[in-house]
Amino acid sequence: MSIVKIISYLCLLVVLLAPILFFADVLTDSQMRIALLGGTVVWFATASTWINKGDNDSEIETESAI
Amino acid sequence: MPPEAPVIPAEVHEYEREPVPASQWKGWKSFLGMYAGEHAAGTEFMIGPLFLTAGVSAFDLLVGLFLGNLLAVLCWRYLTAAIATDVRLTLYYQLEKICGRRLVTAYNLANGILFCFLAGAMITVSATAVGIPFDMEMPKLTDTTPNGATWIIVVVAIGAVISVIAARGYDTVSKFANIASPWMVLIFLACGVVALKGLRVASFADFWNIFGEGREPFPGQIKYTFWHVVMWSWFCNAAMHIGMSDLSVFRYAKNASSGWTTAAGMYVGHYLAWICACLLYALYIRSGDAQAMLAAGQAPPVAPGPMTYEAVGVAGLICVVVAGWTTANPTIYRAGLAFQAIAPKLSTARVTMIAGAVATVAGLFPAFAMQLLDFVAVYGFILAPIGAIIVFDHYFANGAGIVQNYAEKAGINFNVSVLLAWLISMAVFYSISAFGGVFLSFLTLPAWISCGALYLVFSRMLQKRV
Repeated sequence: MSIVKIISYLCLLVVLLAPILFFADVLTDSQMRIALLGGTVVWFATASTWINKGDNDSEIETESAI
Repeated sequence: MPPEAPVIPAEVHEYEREPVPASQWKGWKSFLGMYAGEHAAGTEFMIGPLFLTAGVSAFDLLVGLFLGNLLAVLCWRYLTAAIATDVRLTLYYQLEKICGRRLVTAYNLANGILFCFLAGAMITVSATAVGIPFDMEMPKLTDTTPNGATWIIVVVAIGAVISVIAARGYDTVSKFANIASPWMVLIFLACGVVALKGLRVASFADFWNIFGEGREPFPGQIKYTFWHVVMWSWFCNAAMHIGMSDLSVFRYAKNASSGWTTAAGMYVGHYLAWICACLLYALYIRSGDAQAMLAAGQAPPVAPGPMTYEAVGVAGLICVVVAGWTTANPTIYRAGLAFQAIAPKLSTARVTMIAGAVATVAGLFPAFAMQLLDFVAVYGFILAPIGAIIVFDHYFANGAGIVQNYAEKAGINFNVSVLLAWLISMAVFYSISAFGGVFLSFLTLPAWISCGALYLVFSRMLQKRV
């Protein structure tokens, strides 16, 4: 697994954990918002380099789902 | 488009008029991520809160949604995936064999128009996020027409961007949607967790008491009971499962058990995401503004943009825009393809722009988003009965003594039996709903069965020897 992929997964972990830590009063509201935004930005920046590479599932597409 | 080309340049790009060969079959993992992502869309931000406006109780919501989604999964597994792995054809080609090309075109027109309205609702959802920096007034739950110039400008701008991108082909957007999917699900979850804190939930009992025994529906809404929730959630994607749209997907499956992967879409998108969005709205309606509106006999607005921004900040706003955009885009593209079947001389880019324009006009009217529960029920009700034609033709044609795939064998372009079965079923059951006041989703299954049964009866009467 490449370093970029690891960073991407860590960002998802941040997005998952930030609200939970806020719920547990470990993070403040503004810290949680910054963590979510940071995780979001880095996720899109890093995941775009690998997530569509080498998969052949794109030929299967559903109708417009609700 | 040459005359030999398929009537429907469908959503798939290969094997449109032949069974998918065994070398192209895929395992269940190929379907799992796809379904989980496809059903976490912009509309989920509307649907969750709308349940709350319908006064659902905790049991209705939690158990009703669980059961309704389970029934949907069973339909996908035992009807859609079962037939798809038997015939391995697209919905459109399978329909063409039974109905003939011209009737498939009529079906496609209905599909295209409904897609445009659905995309319009998604544009509305995105507009509630994009409008925040412009201090835009959010549409009220009872609004049907645009509420001001800012609303119109924001919706037209979003619609124009989405339409232009869709007209250029949606490969890039599809790839972007793949990237956004796992993150989007986590943002839904984040909204739910933050809302729980705002609602001071410390135990399951506290969580249960948010909805409690239910309440009176908000002004302009009808009361949803347990069975309303079950039936609505079962049939909100009726076009895809009992309506057989997803034949086009599962024809690639190695075996029918891949149908179980739809559970990922249902329980992530239609359970977790709806409940999280519902919690966001539950938090909002405890605010002073919302309470004042309720006290004045008005329904507080359902505006996903402000709700998510209030809960999780800018990441929430991005999620609302991305969720609306990534789902509106392919919807407009597919609506364009549907229209192209009717006007094949127009280029794909042009028909997509026309579909985008229709969707944008629909997006200007908040009624499609604010009455999304009703619209989605209509969407399933209209398209699902066509799936009954395929199911009854597949399983009961021999028993009923009719010719399977009659249009293909008889060389006809228009199978009258199918049209009569579809129209009579819709007319009868829609009339029962409209004039008898029966909730439309209660009638989707009767209309579906009736359509299939009438198809057998009319085919028996009208089919000629081939």
